[in-house]
Amino acid sequence: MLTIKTYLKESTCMVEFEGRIDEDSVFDQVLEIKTNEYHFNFEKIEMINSCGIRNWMTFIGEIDDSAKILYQKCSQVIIEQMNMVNGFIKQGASIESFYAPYYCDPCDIEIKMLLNSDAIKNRKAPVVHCSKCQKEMEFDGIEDQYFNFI
Amino acid sequence: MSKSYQLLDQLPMPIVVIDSKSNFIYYNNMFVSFCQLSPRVLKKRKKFTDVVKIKNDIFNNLIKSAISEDRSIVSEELDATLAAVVQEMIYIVIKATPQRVGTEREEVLISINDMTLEYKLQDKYQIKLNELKELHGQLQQADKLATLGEINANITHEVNNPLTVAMGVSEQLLISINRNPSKLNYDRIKKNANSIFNALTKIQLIMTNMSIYAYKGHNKKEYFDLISIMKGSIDLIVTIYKKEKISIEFQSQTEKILTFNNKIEIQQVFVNLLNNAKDAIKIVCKKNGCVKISIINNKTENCIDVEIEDNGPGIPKNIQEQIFNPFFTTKPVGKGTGLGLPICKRIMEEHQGDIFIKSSSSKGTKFIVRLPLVEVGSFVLNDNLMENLIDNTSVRILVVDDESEILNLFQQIFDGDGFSMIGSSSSSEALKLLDKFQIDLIISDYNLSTTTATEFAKKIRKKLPIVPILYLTSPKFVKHFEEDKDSLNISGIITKPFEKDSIIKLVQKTLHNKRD
Repeated sequence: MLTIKTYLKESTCMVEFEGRIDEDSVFDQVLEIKTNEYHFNFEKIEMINSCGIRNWMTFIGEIDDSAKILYQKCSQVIIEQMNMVNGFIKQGASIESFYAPYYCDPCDIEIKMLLNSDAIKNRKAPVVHCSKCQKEMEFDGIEDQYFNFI
Repeated sequence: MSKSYQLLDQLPMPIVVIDSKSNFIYYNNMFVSFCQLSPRVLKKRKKFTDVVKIKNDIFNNLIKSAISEDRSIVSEELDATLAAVVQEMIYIVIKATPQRVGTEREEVLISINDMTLEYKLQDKYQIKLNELKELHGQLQQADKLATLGEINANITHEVNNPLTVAMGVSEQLLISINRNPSKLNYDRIKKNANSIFNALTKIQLIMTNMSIYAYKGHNKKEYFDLISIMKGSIDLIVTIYKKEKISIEFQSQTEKILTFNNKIEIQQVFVNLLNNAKDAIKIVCKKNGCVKISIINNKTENCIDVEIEDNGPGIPKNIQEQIFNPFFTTKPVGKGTGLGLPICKRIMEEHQGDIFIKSSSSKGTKFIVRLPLVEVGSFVLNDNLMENLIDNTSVRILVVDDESEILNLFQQIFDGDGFSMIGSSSSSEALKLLDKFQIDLIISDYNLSTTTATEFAKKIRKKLPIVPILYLTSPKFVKHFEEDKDSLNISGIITKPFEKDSIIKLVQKTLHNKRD
């Protein structure tokens, strides 16, 4: 199930999504807020399937083309879907930040690191250090594939 | 990595290459996403079945077959789980394509089609559909009760009349008996008793009719005389019509028309239309308001048409297009739900029939309720039931009788025992059916309304020399079976009254003899 929390920060509509984006997802409450800037926070999205993507694309198609859209804190599942389906990111929208998987071999720890899109150069994972042992962590994915959306 | 593997990396579906022991040789990026493991973790898994768990030995057998037969093999839909998410079932179809590398190594290319989403959507769709059906049933019942509410006050009046008669006559009877107990006029007593009995019978009929109409029954269809259904519908509304001074004219081409339907639902359609006709006439306060009902055997369309025509103000063209839409109504707020006609439409569709406006003008409107012939109705239902059976070795039996009770009895006898029964009330329609469909056995009443089973059998034999025929008759007509047994190859006789077991045994014996 998808939960949507919306609030206005000055003239920006802040939207926080939580749960699953699927065939049952309805985005009407966001469309009811007519503004010219939207910030979408995907931190708490656990799953998105192909029907959810279709519903998402219908939804963002209804937002005025002149509106500014920012995708924030995209979870790993969102990034993976973004890389598979053209159109998830609305034309003109930008991705501010997202989570990427890292692994520390000595400590056997997996983390999801919040990265800013600006920090990604040449589709390479930035260097991240383990908070426990300070050693450089390994990017736990396929770089070419994961950063393809940038 | 070889060039071909690089190509596989570009494909938008999970692809794996394994050896004959299911060990990984290669997998593409989509497979990494599919199994929801990071590349680092996946590297540690040796076999395909360590990552994708499929029940029993299905996967291994699939690989063995692909290699031994040296061809691509596609699996049926498989239940599986991923090692990363064991608590969730997935549904996949696998295609295994063997490849020989050099002279020694066998590789198998596996492509995976993930059907999980379709599977789950179908489940959801079924649930929603069942909810809608349930809701529709409730709406249908609500509409019925709303109509019943409208006519209830007048039915009370209709009941009070015979009740008053019964009470009055009973009182007179008691007075006569008490006045002169030794000199009783038995003729007069008998006459009074009859009056009371008739009055009470009328009340019982009204009550039965109402309760049948209000009953929220199942969807079961049976053989019914359409004329009696219409008469029952008229009985429910006749009091209101009398009150509004609207006359009803009812005519039919024959005295009885058998159809295969749900009586309660068809009655709901008729009552709805009659109610609407009354409301239309009321609008214009017509003094000579009249509703004409005709039941016609439509030979062109091969169906039965029930025409209901009023002399109300007619329905404007732009409204005609909308009247079957849910919640559309022209009645004032609180008077109509706008559900009556859409429900009627749905009922008729479920009967493989239709309801539509034949004509409408300032002189009135004519609705047509169209029903399939009894043979078509029963064929569609029973054959659809049979098609749903996996092992469809059902026997198709044609029963020809113009009594609905007999047809319903046979329907019950043959229900669910591997028999598919088609009922017919007419030998001529039954002959048309034989031209179109394969029938394994025919049971015919000897005394049909327009012919005898002997004449019917002669016509059957011209088309079908060997299909078994059984006569259905009372003991006094057994001689006809004796006469026709050899000349028309009549296989047997069922005498009334009969029991289920004896019918089944006779049918099985007849079919067995036919095979021999």
